[in-house]
Amino acid sequence: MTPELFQSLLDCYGADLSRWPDDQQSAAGHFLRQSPQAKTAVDQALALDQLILAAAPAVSDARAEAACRAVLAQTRSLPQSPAWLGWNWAPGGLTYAGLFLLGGLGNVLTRLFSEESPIDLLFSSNLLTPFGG
Amino acid sequence: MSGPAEASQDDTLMQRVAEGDSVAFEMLMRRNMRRALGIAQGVMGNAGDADEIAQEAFMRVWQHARRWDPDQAGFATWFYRIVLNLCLDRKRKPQWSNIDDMPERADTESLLAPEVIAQKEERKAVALALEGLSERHRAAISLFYFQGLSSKDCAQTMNLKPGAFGQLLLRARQAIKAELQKSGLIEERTAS
Repeated sequence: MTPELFQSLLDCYGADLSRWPDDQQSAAGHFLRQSPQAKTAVDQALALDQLILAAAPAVSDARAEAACRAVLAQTRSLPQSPAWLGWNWAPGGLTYAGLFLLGGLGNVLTRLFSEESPIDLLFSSNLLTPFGG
Repeated sequence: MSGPAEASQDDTLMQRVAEGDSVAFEMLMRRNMRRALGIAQGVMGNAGDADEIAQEAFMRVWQHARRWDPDQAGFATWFYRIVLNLCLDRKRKPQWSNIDDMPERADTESLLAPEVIAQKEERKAVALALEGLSERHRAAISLFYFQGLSSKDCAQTMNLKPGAFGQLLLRARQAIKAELQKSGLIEERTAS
């Protein structure tokens, strides 16, 4: 590990080497044991870590319990959505819907610019499907 | 996320929730509510919004339980994504009030008054630094520092590649550091 890589990982993940990416921890630990400068840098990073961690929001048991009760009160009358109402079908469905509409639009435009009268458009049997079939 | 055993228990409970088991839902919620509140408050900066978001997230878990696909993501990843998306969807500027919400350190009573004041000032400065970050940067800080998730889990939750999450975290940390240097809480020479 180079000093530059060590410093960049320190800048990113902080002073606790056990929280660095798994594949860097061993080399970083070895580098730290060898380098007094690395030790100083870790101590300095630790100061920032501690300041950030001190700002972690507090969540009391009572608050969590109150939130659970509020959810339970609302979910008692709330039905679950069926799985098919998910949005996994949306990209395929929208593609098919778009193609359908494009086909219909193409058919109407073709008829508009053809010599048939508007009344033919309304009653023409080939408008039964958007593709003119 | 949490340990593998806990994650597995959550996944099992979630499977039961998807079958409409309300008892499993209650158990799952009680196991995860604190973390949901913590993540949301870390991003939004105030308890009121965090409470609403955490509750809304669990309502969605119940309502859309059948959409959860265990082959795509474990419960924790799926659920934290819901929480984060709800946070990021809220366009209004967060009302930061987390100074009063912050935990007092355990040894506060034994500290002298000036030390208590200094401690509060420190936390206020960090809160201001956090306020200056974007929601995505705060989300990175909230997941990695406040919730202690691994960088890999954070990346998965935020739907990022590990390297991209690392860059996000780096920029967030650098921004906090710059603000704290301005306020004199850390020295310019502090490396990271």
